[in-house]
Amino acid sequence: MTTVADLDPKRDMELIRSRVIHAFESQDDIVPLLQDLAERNPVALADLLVGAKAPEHADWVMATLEVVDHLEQALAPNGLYGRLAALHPDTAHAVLATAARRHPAGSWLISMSRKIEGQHAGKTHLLACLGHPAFAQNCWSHAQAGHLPGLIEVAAETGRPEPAAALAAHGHLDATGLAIVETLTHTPNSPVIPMVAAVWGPDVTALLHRCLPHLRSRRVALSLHGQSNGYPAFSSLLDTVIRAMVHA
Amino acid sequence: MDIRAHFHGAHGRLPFVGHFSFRQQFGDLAIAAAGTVAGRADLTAAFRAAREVEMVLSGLPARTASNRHDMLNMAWSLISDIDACDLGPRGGDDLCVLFAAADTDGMGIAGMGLGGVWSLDGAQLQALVTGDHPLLGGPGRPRRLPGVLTLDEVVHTVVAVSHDHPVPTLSPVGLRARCGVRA
Repeated sequence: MTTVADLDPKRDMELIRSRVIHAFESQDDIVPLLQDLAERNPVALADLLVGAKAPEHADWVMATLEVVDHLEQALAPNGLYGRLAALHPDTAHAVLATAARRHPAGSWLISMSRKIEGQHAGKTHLLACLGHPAFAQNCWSHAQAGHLPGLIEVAAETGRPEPAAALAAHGHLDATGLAIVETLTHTPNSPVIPMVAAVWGPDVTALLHRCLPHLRSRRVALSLHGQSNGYPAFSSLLDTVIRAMVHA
Repeated sequence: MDIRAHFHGAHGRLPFVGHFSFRQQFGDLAIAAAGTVAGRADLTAAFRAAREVEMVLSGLPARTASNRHDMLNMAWSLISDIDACDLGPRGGDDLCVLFAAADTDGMGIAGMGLGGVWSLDGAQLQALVTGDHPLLGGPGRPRRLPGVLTLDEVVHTVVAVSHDHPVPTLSPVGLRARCGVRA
């Protein structure tokens, strides 16, 4: 039995709030109190945790994330996670990661990513939805929003072809070149050139040339060569580049 | 003489799966081709098949052709001689291709798997064939090149959509990008 079990959320909300905040300030585990309240009144729980009087404290946010499934019964997810992220900057990334895991297809995550991750926008969201059907669409949305470094980091960490293809689809040519190289560095046989061609059009030589300044490894250059030998002029140029590279 | 053939992309996030393009010029003779093969196969298979078509067409002996009809027949022979196993899982039965060849007397247009063909002059699109014209039909690789549409005047750019393209009309706005032409 918790210290709020005998209180009625409709009548005793301020008493509940003071008991939970007292427990929080005493560094007691407040999650059992929150779960007790969640089962009886999710709206009261939402008011307590993310309402105007919610403490702006990192540990408060982390405790809130423990009962976020209950909160989603009372609040729309974009408002809920936006408010939670605003409560404390140290936990904003954790909030974003939770939001991305629970709502991988949420279009509102694009702007939220930008607010929280800044220049690296998209990384948390995309890494959280790698296995979800919305991954490709999310890459396209982040590319459309201009989140280039985030997409390149995802290419580097996953070897998936979608980030480079999304960048090409939105005309970010230099970023596409770098993303192709990062993709092949992680996964040499990733079908990144076929996918880029599928979004760009049959002649991808302009994009292939954008890869050259980023080639640092002979292994990656050979991988690019293997996928670009249908473009004889570029392939010949790449041959020359590869011959000039030290073995790595 | 410089002519271009553009093939409209499909709808969706990956509009140019299996798309290829080619053009060659020799003196007063010019030929251009564009199309798609293995468009419903996986990306890598479609990409390989498309590059195979481009590579084979790049061997077209234009210097031995005497007119546009020679050029078209040579191009079709080259396509016909490609091993089916190099053209994706359907062996080329899904090939859609638009050919345009020109000489000093005019232009010849041929193809397979086409749902509509237009000339593009600046921002002006003009339908070249309509209805049940023999230039329009299903995809594949028949032994001989089907009928050729002859024009007395050379048009700089010819645009086609595939036989299964859902929209029977085209807008010139953004057309080049929708055909995967970026330069």
